[in-house]
Amino acid sequence: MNILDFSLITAIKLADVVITEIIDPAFEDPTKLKHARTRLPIALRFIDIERFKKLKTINERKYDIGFIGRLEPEKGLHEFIRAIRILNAKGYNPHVLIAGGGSLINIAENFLNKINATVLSYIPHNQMPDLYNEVKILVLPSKKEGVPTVLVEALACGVIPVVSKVGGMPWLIQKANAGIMLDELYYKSIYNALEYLLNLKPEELEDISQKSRKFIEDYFAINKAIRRYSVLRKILI
Amino acid sequence: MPSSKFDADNTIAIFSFPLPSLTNYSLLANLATIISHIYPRVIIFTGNFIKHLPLIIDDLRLSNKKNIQIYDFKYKLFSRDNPTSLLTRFFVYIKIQASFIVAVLKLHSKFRTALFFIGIPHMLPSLIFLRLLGKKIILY
Repeated sequence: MNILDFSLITAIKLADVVITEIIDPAFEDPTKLKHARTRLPIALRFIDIERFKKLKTINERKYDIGFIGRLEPEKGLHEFIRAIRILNAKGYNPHVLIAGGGSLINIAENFLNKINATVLSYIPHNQMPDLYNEVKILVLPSKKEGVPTVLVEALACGVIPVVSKVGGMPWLIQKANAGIMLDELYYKSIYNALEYLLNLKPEELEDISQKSRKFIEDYFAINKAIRRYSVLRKILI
Repeated sequence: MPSSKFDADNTIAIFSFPLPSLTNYSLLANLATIISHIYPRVIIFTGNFIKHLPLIIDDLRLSNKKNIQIYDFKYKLFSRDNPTSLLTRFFVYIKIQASFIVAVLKLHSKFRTALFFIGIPHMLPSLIFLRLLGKKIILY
């Protein structure tokens, strides 16, 4: 155990309440589960649903598949690229977007030369709603996550998610009843999920897209977040 | 009830260690927005928040701005790829730690509840101090 782990455990033990965004304890950080006196799963953030909203139907969007986030090994970029390669070998040839910066930017750019892909290294946050509205399917094959902002923002814009089974993502996907949760973080699983979605009819994809949006309105609007956090004041009196 | 106690009961302090990524400031703004609708007064203790404000102003759009006060000590950690010497990094780290302690010493009587957000392990000295002062502690 290093000094930061020790500090964290001590802090958790001293706290009256530990709030967390991981609703399902099965996916919670074991340190919190073991040492927290009171664990409150209320810490889902809010999203500005007026800024992040569905502006286009799925059929009108430019990119079939997107990978948006830090381009680092723990984000599953290698597995994503391998899955896209198989899709191409099978003749799907989807238009792929890779957006984000990080140590694997060169890998992403090399990939760009071989397939029908666009790589964007930096996007100002105020342009993200328009970008999400150009993406049909978002793949988030991370090895470790909480509740990623990119996933919540994308769902608000009606993007269809394909996510790994880590952190807060499984709860989101189950609750939204939209998108696909990968049973294992393996390129073939990503390929299978993408192939399934690419073979759906546009109206079936649109139905999933609308469920994504509806879920965000139900759980991530600011009034919902305020109501969740209000519990804190009551229990700390 | 004396007004100072009333004020302290209605005030929450949010402590966030000034780590380099802009995303952290954005998440802090998101949290402060929610909390500003629950507590009449929110005091944010962090570094370099004001400097990042133009970049995260959208994240505060829905906040109750009159309820938010910022105690900004103008330091933040260097990012990993910043070519700064280890000694400089160490001094900045010590300055940040000292700034937190000074802030707690100055303002602890103004709040009863402290919420520790980003970089919790780095803020253990302040957390222990606040615990000894009988504050309610929330960890994110």
